[in-house]
Amino acid sequence: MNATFFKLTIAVFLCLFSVSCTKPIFYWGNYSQTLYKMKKNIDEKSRNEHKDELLKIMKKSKKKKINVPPGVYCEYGYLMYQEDNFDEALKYYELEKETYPESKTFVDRLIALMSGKKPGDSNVSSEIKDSQ
Amino acid sequence: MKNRYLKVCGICILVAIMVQNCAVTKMEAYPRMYEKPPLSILVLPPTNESTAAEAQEYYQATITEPLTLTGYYAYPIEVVSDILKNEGMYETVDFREFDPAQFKKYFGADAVLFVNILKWDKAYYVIGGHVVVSVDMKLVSTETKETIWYYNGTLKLDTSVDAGNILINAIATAVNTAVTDYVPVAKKANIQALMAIPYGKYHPKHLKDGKMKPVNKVLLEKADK
Repeated sequence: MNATFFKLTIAVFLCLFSVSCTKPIFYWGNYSQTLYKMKKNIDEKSRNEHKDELLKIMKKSKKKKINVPPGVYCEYGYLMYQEDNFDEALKYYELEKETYPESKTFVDRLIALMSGKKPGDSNVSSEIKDSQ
Repeated sequence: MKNRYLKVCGICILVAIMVQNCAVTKMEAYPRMYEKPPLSILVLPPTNESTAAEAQEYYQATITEPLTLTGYYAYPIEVVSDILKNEGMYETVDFREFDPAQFKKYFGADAVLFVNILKWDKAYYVIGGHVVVSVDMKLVSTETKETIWYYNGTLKLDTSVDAGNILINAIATAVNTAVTDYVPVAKKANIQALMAIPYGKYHPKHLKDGKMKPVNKVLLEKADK
């Protein structure tokens, strides 16, 4: 009787102070650290470390049978684009759209950047500043 | 023995109920997030009113992860920042002046998150250190242009474990390693700020967390609606 009452009290406490204890829905690894270092150091080594981290996140997500986090495919694709590796860039952009259809508008813009357009050619400034 | 045990339990439960009544439910605080839940959030480069120039970089590198873990699609902030820079829109531009609908048109975003760092005060002492972080966040619907979620708070984050490393690294003049020690601090600040946000589509508790009470009434009074 006492043991049951005790267990019940614990259960009540857990309900009252319930903190979300669900498993993380995405695996991000060491993303924040490698991203910060890449931005801060602006060198080949940090860039490669961040690229490796993105690939690791993709691999581990697959192993855990969860989706790659939002933006990871896209970010890797963009890094490929910056290195003029357009085939790889497109591959990862498509993966982003496939996993997250809500990314279509943005990713299609990134794809358009690759098709012979220089960054300054797009109408972004006028579109965004339009109704100021 | 049993009587004393019952008394203690009774007091604890009473305290728990009192604490709960000082808080407001997520749905009461942010009804628009449940009427029309946003799926995708565009985080713009944070603005920085603190005295620490580097705070902006720490925030920018650490906001995406916790935001997605609350169930939202977040655009990769570095790619967004680069695209905006290419268009002549640097971090000094006040994006709050823009019509939110334009962000829907260009990015496809349902909502835009504005982050403003008010304070990033570091303190060192022999046995450790801390950072006082003050930030306000505002989530604006690109469709209705209304503010649908907001946070305004100050946190004191202990950096005692890292302080030793920072001193050692400073002595060794390994500047790069020293500055990355604040990344976990910034991430904790972002996680804390996002604790009151209703869960997004990708979270198992999406639309089921309305009755949760993480929002302090005092916080609501301070927030700029």
